Amino acid sequence: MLEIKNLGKDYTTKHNGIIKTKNLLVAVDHISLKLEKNKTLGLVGESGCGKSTLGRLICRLEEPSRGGIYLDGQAIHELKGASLRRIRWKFQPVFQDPYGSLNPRFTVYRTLEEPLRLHEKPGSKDEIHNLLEMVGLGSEVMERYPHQLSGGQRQRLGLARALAVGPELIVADEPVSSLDVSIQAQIINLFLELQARLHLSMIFISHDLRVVGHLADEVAVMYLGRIMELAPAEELFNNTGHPYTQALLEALPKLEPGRGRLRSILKGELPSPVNPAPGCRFYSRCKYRRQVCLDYENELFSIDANHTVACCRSKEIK
Amino acid sequence: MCKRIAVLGAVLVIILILLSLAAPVIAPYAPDKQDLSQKLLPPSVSHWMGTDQLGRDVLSRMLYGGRVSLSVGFVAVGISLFIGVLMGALAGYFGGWVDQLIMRTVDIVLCIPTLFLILMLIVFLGPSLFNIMVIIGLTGWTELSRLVRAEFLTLKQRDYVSVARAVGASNGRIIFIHILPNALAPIFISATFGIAGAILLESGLSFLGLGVKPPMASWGNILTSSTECMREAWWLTLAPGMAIFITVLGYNLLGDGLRDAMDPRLSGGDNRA
Amino acid sequence: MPWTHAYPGAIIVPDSSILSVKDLVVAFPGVSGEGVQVVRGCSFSIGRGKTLGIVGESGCGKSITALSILGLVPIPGIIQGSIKYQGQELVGLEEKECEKLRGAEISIVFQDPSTALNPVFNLEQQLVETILRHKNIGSREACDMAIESLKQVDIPDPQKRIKDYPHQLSGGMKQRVLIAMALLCDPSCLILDEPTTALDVTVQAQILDLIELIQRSKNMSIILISHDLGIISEISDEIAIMYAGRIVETTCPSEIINSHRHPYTKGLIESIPKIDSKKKKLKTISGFPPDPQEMPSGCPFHPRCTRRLEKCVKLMPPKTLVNDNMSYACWNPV
Repeated sequence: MLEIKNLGKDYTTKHNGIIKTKNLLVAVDHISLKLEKNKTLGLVGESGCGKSTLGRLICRLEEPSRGGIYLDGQAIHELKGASLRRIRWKFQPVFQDPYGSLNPRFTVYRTLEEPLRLHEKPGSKDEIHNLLEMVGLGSEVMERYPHQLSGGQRQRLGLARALAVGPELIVADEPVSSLDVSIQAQIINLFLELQARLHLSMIFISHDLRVVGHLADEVAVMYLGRIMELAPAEELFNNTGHPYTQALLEALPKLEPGRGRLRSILKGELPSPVNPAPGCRFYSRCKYRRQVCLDYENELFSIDANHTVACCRSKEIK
Repeated sequence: MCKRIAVLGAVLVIILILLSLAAPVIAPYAPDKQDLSQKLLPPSVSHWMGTDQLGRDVLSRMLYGGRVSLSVGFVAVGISLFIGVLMGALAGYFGGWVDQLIMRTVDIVLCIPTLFLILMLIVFLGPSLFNIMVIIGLTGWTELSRLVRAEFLTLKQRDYVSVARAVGASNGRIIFIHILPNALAPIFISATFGIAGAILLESGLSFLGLGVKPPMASWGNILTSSTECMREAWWLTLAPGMAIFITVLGYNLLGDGLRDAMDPRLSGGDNRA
Repeated sequence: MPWTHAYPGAIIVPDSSILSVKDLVVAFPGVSGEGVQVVRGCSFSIGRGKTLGIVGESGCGKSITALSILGLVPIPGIIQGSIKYQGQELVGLEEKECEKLRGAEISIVFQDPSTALNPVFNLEQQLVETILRHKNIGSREACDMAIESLKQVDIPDPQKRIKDYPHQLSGGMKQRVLIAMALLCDPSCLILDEPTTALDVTVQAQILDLIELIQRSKNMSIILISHDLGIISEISDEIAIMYAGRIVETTCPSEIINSHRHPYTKGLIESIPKIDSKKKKLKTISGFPPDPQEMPSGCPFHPRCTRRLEKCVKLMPPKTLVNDNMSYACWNPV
């Protein structure tokens, strides 16, 4: 249904010091993914790994620097202007901060009417009522402004907004991260329920492996703009192939007494994505690094039927 | 508390507007009726604000002058609002060469001292009321466009703008329906300051003799002529000075109030229902 | 106290608690009529060298509880009840006395490291200023102390990094600096208010390891506040679960999964998605936490509770002790 081929996005940052310097920031690079209908792809990684940029690229909110995005065989990265606007209903984003993604001057009614109007569907009260009901909101909120809703209600409204145009693909960028645990679980359930009911395909972006593990069929782990590991969720957690995925799993807080446990295998922090050094992206923090890693450019290779890894030493490490 | 001050501002502005509108009805004398035998009289029952050096009733002149001063404020700011918002919105939203072009134009306009530019234009075009309004309007949009541009630069990063784009809204719709209403608060504040500024500027021009031509009255030229005889009749400066001061104050208070009233987050309503 | 080192597993007798809070109530007088109670009767104590984890959702009063210990409740908040630090009553203490305790005896690290440091001063200036305020030493010595403190929180190359300004540091580094700053005067009690919420998982793991390491070397007591039950379980000895301004259950990490008693605790545990619980529906707590201005009658959790009895609607359940460390407040426990 969705196919991404070799997608990349660069930004150039200029420093106007005494000598003008131009820096290349590779936000996303060499991304190839496939997503089937009614399936969920999870994107995990720490902040700055490019997962949100990838989400914005797929929603065509950002211009790709290279590579292609194909939706049902159609090259949507080539579309521009009105032809792009006409197809946008197929892929809808849901953002992390439900408050920021709702226009503060629009009531709930206006928020939902706007997308309907733009796609020349009748924005009748009934239809909006149905949308609200679908995401578990009562029609009494119709005339309220976003600031009069609770965090959970706002995220429900954000989802209703995305569903208004009847999309095929939802790209959800950290949709539950700013919510309390009990509310978070409600929204996760809502996602599961709506996916089953509307046969949606989803890309679910989160820094939280627990949430992604719960929701996704397939998980892609990203680091500095590259995919480090791509596998079905269970396979990824039970048969981890990349040292970075290992570190993420180890760092996860567990619901058991953990006093005295060493949680951090990774030392240091994410290196700067500006002008990255050649070799494996993970080299600077990897405890298994060897000379060979410096000649390796994180090409993905299969270690199992559906399991690909971007680590040249993954077989030895296991 | 905040609301009461805003209401006070609105009341001040409305009273001033009503008084000037009603000038032909309530003015006790014709504004240009001279009576040299009655010149430089202190305030009294027959002349509430006294008379000027030509024996004209200051109150009547103030009422008629209000029409000029207030309309200069409105029209001039209307013109700068239109240009400034449009230019700022385009520059901030599109960025790139559009931004460069507009902002360099702004820089060039700002390089020339405003007063000097206005003086030059008035000398060329002649100091009619219409010319003054248009010229003040045409020179006053630069600050506003910078403000609107800055506002658009931050607002266009908001997720709801991405959301609007994702549902297929056109650029024009995003600019005017989705972003602009959220940028109105600072624009309004700036506009009220702008009205006050335009009134002051007109007064300044009149003071230099390049404003509204006598015998037509404006607060500026009443103030100017009263300064000529400040020693004999100091009270004459009081009326136009206070009128300008009250107008400026009223507009500023009103601007603050409008900002609060237009923000749905501040207009009451519980946070969670 | 040398005996804690000699017997690491020693049972702490109740008197040895370094800080004990009893019936703490924090209220904010409203514009009209009676005030809003944000904390409504909290009692807990914490032993020397131990970690108490307080979990709860936003708005449950956990941060205000922490602030009231430091005497930092924002004006016009009113504190009632008793907070005893090493026998000394802190409620009603004069501001001057409070200031002496703050930093020197009890320190706090806040959630957001990006706003807690002043952007216009470098680390040296900020650290040295804090040292000089509490200690009567020369600026040269203070500078050495500042470098030492950065070394202690594993900041590489502290002599050089101390000249850095906050914007030159990553989020994790800033949080390390803030911990260093809180530790400058060797406090015996450290309060951490959501110390890792703004950080990435791998950095969070590093900070948790660091906190544990420092605690062990200094025999410090820690109050850790978090919304994440996972983090709390990781490094706490005791856990207090807060809901609507009250502690509804106290327990410990080894018991929480299998022998929790309060339905809210159960709900919280079930709400956490498991990495391998593939696409199953999560059991959730319906509704959302109550508004402190419109507290429900009886047990505040009853509108969301699946085990609700008739009496829950009317009567506030009392605290029921299970043993020294465990208690719950529920009429119909799990």
